[in-house]
Amino acid sequence: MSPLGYQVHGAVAVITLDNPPVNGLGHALRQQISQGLEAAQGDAAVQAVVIIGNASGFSGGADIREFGTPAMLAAPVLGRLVQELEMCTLPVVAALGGNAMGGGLELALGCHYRVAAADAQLAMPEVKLGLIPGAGGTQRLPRAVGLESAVNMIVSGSPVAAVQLRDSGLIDRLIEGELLTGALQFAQQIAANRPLPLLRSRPVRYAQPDAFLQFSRNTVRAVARNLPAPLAAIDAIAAALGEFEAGLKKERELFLQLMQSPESAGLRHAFFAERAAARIPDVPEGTPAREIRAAAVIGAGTMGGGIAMSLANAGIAVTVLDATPEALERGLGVIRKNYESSAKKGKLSPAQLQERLGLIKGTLAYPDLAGADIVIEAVFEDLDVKAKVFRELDRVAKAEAILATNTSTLDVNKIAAVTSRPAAVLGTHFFSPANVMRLLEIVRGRETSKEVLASAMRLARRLKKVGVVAGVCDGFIGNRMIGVYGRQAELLLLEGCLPQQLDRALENFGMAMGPCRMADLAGLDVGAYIRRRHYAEHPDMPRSTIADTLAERQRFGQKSGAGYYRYPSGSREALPDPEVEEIILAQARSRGVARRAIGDEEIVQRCVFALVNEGARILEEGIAQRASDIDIVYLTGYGFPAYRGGPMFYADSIGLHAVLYALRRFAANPYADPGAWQPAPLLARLGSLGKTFNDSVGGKPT
Amino acid sequence: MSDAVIVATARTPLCKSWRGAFNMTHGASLGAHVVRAALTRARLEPAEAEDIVFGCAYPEGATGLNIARQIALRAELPVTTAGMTVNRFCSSGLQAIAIAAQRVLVDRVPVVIAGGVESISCVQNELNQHMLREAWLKEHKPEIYLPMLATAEVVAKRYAIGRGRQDEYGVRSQLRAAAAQEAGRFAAEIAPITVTAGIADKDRPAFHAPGYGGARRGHPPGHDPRGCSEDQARGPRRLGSRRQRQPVLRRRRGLRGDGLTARRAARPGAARRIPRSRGGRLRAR
Repeated sequence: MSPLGYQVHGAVAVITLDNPPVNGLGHALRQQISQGLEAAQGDAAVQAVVIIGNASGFSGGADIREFGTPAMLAAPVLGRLVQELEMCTLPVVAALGGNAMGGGLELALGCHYRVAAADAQLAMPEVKLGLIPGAGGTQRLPRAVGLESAVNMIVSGSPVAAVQLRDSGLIDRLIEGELLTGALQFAQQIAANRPLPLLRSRPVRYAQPDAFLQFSRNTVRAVARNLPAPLAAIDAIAAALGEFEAGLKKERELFLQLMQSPESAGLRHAFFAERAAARIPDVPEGTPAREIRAAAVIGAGTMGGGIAMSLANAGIAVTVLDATPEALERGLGVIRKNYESSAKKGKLSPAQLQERLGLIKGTLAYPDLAGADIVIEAVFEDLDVKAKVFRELDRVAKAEAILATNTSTLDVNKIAAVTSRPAAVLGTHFFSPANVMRLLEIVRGRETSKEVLASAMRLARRLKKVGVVAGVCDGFIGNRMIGVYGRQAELLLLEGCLPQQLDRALENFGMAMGPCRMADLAGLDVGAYIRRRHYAEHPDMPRSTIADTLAERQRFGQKSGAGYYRYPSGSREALPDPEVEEIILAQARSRGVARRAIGDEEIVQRCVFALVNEGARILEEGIAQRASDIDIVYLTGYGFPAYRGGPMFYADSIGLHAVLYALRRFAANPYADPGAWQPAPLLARLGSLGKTFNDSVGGKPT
Repeated sequence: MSDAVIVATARTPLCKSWRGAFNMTHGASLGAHVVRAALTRARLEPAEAEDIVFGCAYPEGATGLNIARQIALRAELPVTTAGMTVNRFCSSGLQAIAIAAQRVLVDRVPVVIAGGVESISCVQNELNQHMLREAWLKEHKPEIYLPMLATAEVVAKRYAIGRGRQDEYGVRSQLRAAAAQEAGRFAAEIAPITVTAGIADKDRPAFHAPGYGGARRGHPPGHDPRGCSEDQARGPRRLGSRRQRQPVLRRRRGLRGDGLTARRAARPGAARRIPRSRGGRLRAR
């Protein structure tokens, strides 16, 4: 009996890869290829072999579901399989269509020949998971495409269209028309040629390779701060200039090192976390979702405009409503300007520009929203104002419309309650700038229907965003946590830091921006507004007097030219400001705080562990569905470094016991807020049991 | 005593360090290019040069071994042309010219080529750090290990050269360079060169290093009026030298090099190298 996926067409054996969804090279598929090769070599009538993918493409690479499982190491491992291809006594032709990524491309590099559809996408994306190709890719690719292209492909991980590599040793022929037909034809033509060409025996020629490699290292070091994989990739490629087997050994050593690195563990966690976020335990995959053809946005401000652009970018017609003609005109003008500046930079074609502008219409009248399948409200962050909008929407929106609020902190249930259809109401919390930031918190109200929730998740995907489901609470996942983080920043300033030290410590940790620079960007007036509401709701809560004072002095951050820093004449460069230092010192004096030198480690731990502790409460209360959802919120919305996997994963990786220990130490600080360092019960429980938030470090989140 | 005269000069353009066009060019290629250019300008046969002296502040890595000899061979001078590399840090090239002049004056060598070569891009970040500092020196004369900028700070403080004066000097220098470029004065000095450079291209997925098509003209340090320190970039400069009726560019009459004490050295114009006959008017181009 012939192996699965094995067929003979005349004198050519065809091995078809078929392992949905992306033809990951899992153990079963590897075995199948190996058996196919054996069958072909055992059949005297067969003169050549073609390996081809299915409708979804050639192969997405190693099956990363196997990572960390015995299946990954079960024979034949990928590296060995590639060698079996090389040793095959019949010529083997890889027929590349769709994607040939990572291990898939490595498999093709072991074949004697490669033919490809012009639009086949070839990539070595391992670096995105903190790894390098581990099945000879770093050794064979430079031999196929040359040193420079190999460095570019492996270090960037970005795909390259086959047509761009047509003149390299990677592609022996571009196939027009049906791929299998072309591949069979090619196989017949080369069937008799001997010796069989092998990439491993081609030298890498380059005039001054050490110069280029060192230039590459210097460049990579500057852009890939804190990431070991890109540099390791260059070291592995450098070995391709020497003897092949020694190069393979070097690649293996580096690969195994990276596999053990915390950076790769963090990146792999982030990868799985993003996929896990799409799943909602009580809303199964097949839940019907409403078709969204037309949308409306209420409010033409910064958020409303960004949301409208994000919808138009996905090809959805948007009606933008604002209360006054001036506000509407201004908002639409900003949208136009943004698109035009993208067009000027060549990111949009003139046709695309016209198409997007054509999709966005303005109105002042609520009845014009009657056709919208979803209405997203982005008006001022005030419950009464929003309630008024929703009462209006309830009147005009069509029966099956989804009514969404872009609130960042308010009670979605209360907003839903003013309508006659709370099941159609949910929160869609975009992050600014909404047309750029990938995170979309989808707030599930008490009454939100599964269908509406599933529709919103599907919309997130259409907008190329990561939808994360959050329950209703003040601030949902992200902003509730940022509250305690910002509070620690305030206390650290009071106890001895200055903004620049605080920010530098957290930026060295990997945060895209320290808390003070972030606050200056977001606007200190926004924070002050939210705090005022909190002070009113909880009169006993401690005041953030430094932040309050800055806002009182109209230091609203970048937009007013001064916040925690000063920004001379519209510049975005944050410069230390003596006035801020004075404010901080005065606050410390008036509150009798004896300022001290605070180390970077304490800064990072207090800020990050505050996130972790609040995250544990959020998880326990069911506001977040799983720990990895919290991670993904922080990775995609708050600039948490991907290679640390998110706050919850970071806590897991250093050990919850160690986190608890630090919390106890911080609780002894005389200036700590009462109860702030009380461990969340979930954290205490998991820590005492030696468990983790995410199921297993480096593994798949549930 | 016969004269030593400079009959032709050539230099490469000056590019930014690390991100500039010379970030993948070996010192021997840079040096050889200007040697060839100067020989052509002087209308000399390569074999006429008996010796070649090159100064180099970091004679290691891409400007290492006997870089002068490598330059000679790369310029396709015959193997009979000798080569000598000279190090006196920042005045290495100047010292090479002095030695070449001495060779002409004292040893009666008919033609000597002298120059300087430096590649910040390819050498400075790759220095051999093994046993870089000697223990006794570190204890008793730590200033020998002071980096250039720290030395400048000491000088500024010791001689009370305020920021204002430094800026003024910097601005003047920048303006002069800009004016000279405007007036096309560099065009005659520079020997255009085609090289392969590493380029980090923002608009592409990663980076590429295509060969530059066409010659690159040199340019002076940027026109940024803030710039007060030397732009971190050098190409080599060189001079040919011979006793013969040729257009005379500079006349050389000996050079005194004083090893100064560290205290005295740390002053403006640091190591004094003064032509004995003409108070300090010696300039290499």
